Amino acid sequence: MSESTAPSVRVSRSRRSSIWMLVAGVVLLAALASLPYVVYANVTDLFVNFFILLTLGVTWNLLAGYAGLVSVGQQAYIGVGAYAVLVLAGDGMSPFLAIPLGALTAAIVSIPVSFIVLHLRGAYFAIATWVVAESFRLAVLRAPSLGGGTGATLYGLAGVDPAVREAFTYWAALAVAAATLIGCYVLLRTRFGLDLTAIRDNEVGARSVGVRIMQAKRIVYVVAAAGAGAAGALLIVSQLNVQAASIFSVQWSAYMIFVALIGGIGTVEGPILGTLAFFLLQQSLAERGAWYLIVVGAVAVLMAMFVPRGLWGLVGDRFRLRLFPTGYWVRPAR
Amino acid sequence: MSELEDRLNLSITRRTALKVAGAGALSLSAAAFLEACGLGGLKGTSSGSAGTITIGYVSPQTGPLAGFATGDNYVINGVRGSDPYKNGFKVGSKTYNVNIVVKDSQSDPNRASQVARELILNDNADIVLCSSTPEVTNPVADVCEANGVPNVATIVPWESWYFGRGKKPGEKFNWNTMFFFGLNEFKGCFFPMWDRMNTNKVVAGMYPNDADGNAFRGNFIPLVTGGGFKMVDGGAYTDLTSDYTSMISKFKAADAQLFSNCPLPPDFNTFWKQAAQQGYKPKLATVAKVLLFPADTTALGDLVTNIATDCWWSPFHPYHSTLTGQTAKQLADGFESSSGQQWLSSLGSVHSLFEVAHAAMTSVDNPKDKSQVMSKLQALSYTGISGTLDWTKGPMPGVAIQQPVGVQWRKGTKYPYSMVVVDNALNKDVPTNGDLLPTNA
Repeated sequence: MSESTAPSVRVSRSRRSSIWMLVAGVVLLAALASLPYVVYANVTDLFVNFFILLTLGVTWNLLAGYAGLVSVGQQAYIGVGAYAVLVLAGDGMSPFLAIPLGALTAAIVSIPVSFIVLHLRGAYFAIATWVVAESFRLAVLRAPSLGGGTGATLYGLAGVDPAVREAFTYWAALAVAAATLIGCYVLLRTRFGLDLTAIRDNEVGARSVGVRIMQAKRIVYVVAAAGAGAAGALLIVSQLNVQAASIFSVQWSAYMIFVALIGGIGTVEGPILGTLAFFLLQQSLAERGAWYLIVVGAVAVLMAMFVPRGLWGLVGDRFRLRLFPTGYWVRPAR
Repeated sequence: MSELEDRLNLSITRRTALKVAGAGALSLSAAAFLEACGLGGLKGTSSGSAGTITIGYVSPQTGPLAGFATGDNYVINGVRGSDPYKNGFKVGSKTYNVNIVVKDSQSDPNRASQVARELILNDNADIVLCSSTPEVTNPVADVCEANGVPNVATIVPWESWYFGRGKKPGEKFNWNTMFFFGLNEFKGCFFPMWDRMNTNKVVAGMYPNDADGNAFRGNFIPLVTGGGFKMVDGGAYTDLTSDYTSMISKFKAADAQLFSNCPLPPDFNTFWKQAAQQGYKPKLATVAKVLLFPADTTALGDLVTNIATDCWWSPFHPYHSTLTGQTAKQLADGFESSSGQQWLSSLGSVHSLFEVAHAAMTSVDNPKDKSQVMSKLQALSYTGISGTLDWTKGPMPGVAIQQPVGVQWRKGTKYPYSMVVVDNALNKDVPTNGDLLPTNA
């Protein structure tokens, strides 16, 4: 591009709304971090569930929304994260310190798996990821030291004062959710993020301009596995008990898909709104038994049919809002 | 180079790295600030109302395990209407109102843990009761143990509840207790029936490769062989197997005239139909884990006739409630007339949970003091609608044992099939009301 033909434009990532959002984000994070001093544990416990769901939604969105990898087997890594914490805590490590190691274990396990599943595409990839998750579940069922089909109790928290345990669980969940969100945002703003956005928009096109598709997909797959592993580690720490049939259940994938779909797939903001929507539905309908799943399913179908870009598609476009600007604003120079 | 191009070439530059480092430093300083605040100021759980006792209850009211909880609504309505629960627990000179909060585990262990936390953190439950299968009792017990809230469980083999949660013999849970039975009672219930049949003492074992199946394989088979019987293990099959031909041939070849199992209900339906077609007809089948409830019998029809199983509570048990004064028969009849469904054994167990809560909380100085209530629960002995439950004698701390009787399914008058008590070797309180008949004559 030579100087003479260069368009006379101003390019910026952020606009005023984004900068204010950054300030608001820091204030919000500080406020959230002080919550255990302000409210009782029933509220922080709700937030723990919310942060777990948020972590899952954000990482699934990275997979499906950006790399085009529609996985229905992320529960494999939720389980790996949870069981890693179980084993480490059994060896005497503090379960809270074991959380990052749970995420790391999931990431490490996902590397060899990625060499198998990433060769498959579309529906084949989806089924393969599910098969992986089921194999992990069957392997755990046959491991009596992990509790087999009966499940197992997390050690290491028995003598801890409940108030302290609840607060630390909350801070751990907040840290994981914040790290996931900020990590995804930073990742998407780098050159690698540009690669991913290109793959999201047109894979063949991206390949033709030199994006290394396979490498990009592998990185995303491993990062998403780490996120799911962290969520699984949080799950076992908050529930204090793990059962293979439940932690490796495909319902987790259904939740992740719902969160990303409702919120707006392929945006950073979408899964946050999606988690909020799902969470409100879950809280208000939980007492209604099977109706809860029927309503959630119906909402997902209606959203997919009539609002394919999700809630964030509605809000963000109307107000030209970008809370996490990953693209560029191009305006005429003054 | 234009600004646009410059921007697009952006990789992880020094500036990005600095920004990330800055964010990291910020979060570290936030952590340091929190550290400075100390943990003394944490709010923890609110204390709840001083004059009201809140009792939480968790069971699988929807999902695949819902059969266990069929009678819960009826039982809990009855408990709410009983004198102590309606008018409040009288402790010393004070009367405490009682509030029962019921939660559905949706047959999911995750959900069970979540609702147990809601009961403790939101509803300020003073005690949490739970019933039906390790999928409910174990997660709920773990949450109660960590939060220091008294907890009573039932309808779970004590081995799954105790060893399944990592305890070694003699160790005790600080906040968990339960009442039900275990493998030793299966032995005590089944062996006398086996002895009464004139057989070659060869027992077929159909135990799947799952938690219960492996528990039977590991612990029940030694009891069988030690009891003078010969065991033919059909092999550790995978749950939901559709063809049992090889297992059936094995049992036929060994001429196994007695039959024992602990399968998933659909697997027993498949197995039993194939066994009938292929001519495997044991003289007596004593099943565990299946045919506990009337709903299980419909899938097999006439093939359930004279299959024997264990029964820990029935209208024939000569016991009465400490809450309502009702007899076991009145409780079962009341359920049948109000729901139009046949009685089931979980009616008595769930009713007893609320008897236990009442018994423990009214015999301490302060029912709101969780450690007082818990010490009482660990040493409780009382007689109610499930007979005498005694926590001082259990095989392990925190476990009270019920003694099941042997029953057989027969064609009924009011309902298609009903339970007939045929062997009371373990519990002489319950009169037999039928003869032990061969499953296949």
